[in-house]
Amino acid sequence: MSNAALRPNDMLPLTPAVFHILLALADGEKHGYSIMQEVSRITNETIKMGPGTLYGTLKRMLEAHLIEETDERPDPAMDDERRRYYRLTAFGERVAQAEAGRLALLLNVAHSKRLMGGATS
Amino acid sequence: MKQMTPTRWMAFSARIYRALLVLYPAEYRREYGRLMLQYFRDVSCDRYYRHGTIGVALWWCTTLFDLTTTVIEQRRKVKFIMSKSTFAQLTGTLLVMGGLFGVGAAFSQFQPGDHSTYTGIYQLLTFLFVPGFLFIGLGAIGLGLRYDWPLGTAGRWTLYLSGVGALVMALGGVASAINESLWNIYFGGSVLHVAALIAFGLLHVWKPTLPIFRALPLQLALGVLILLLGVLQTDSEAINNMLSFLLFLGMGLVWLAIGLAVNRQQRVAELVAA
Repeated sequence: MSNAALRPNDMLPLTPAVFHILLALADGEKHGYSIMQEVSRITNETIKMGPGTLYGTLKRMLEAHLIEETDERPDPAMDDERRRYYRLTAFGERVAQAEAGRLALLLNVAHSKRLMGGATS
Repeated sequence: MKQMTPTRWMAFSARIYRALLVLYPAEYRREYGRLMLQYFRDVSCDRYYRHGTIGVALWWCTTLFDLTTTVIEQRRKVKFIMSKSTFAQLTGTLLVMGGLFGVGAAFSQFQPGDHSTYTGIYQLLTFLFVPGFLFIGLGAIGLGLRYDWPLGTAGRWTLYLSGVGALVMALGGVASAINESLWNIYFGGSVLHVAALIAFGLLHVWKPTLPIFRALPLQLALGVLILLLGVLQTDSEAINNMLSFLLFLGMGLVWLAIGLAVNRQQRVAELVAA
């Protein structure tokens, strides 16, 4: 699948797994296990991805050009070279921003309708 | 018996997962199989050091659910082009897996006291019956496909029905965990499984086809029948527990033995073909 004709908004809404992976990769390239650790950290360990879900989603994201593989190793001395690292593409970053903006709009609406009170108080 | 160290049984656990990867389409497996195995190992170690054995058991539950959904997803993408022969070649592995889960689940029978409400590790062990019957069901259907011609119509269909019964048992196990009143699904599946297995066992005594002792399927069927009817139940809880354990253990070991024999025969056939 090519994203040549796609705009970020065409990809929305994202599935939770895709958005979580985009968020995990927002601060640099990571391999599968470190992606899961980051997802686990940012969701207070409420999201647990099995191997099939993680790599199935990564495969779809590669095909959609949201992420790409990289040969760079953050710390070669500490690393297993058989691991595969992934990072956001420029398109993936724009899609993540668009999804974050969409969710922020929804949060504003929820806030204005006083639906956030129970969660914050 | 020598006790397995955590490192050894973690390696064993990873080997089981590696064997299960065969369920994915070949191309996907070649691309991601090694990475998925590495990820499975990493998370297993993390869970073990943070939560101990229970952590690994829960990770296995997540993994089995994940495996079921993602195998279907990946296979749908390649339009379920797993051929009849590919499925038949998996038979041995499926039965080995079913046997191993059956053996593990047998230990749930050691729960002291009331069996109607399993708790703690015994509850976790009863969950192993679900993947156990799932693999046994698929394996029995695979046996019917693999030994298609020598089995004949009756042999083939008794295996298919027995397999479907085991699959219904797995489904019933999940359904009754959600709602106890759905226990009848499990019971109905077990009646079909045992009836068809007895019929196959009798046929196999008369005309042995599988690479095993000719009376083994019948012995297996009678063992499961005894379990189902509970005819040997006594007033002693300890004897009942031990009997149930032995019967479930026997069931697991027999399926394991059949799976290993089928795999061995396949390896020989591949060597001859090469």
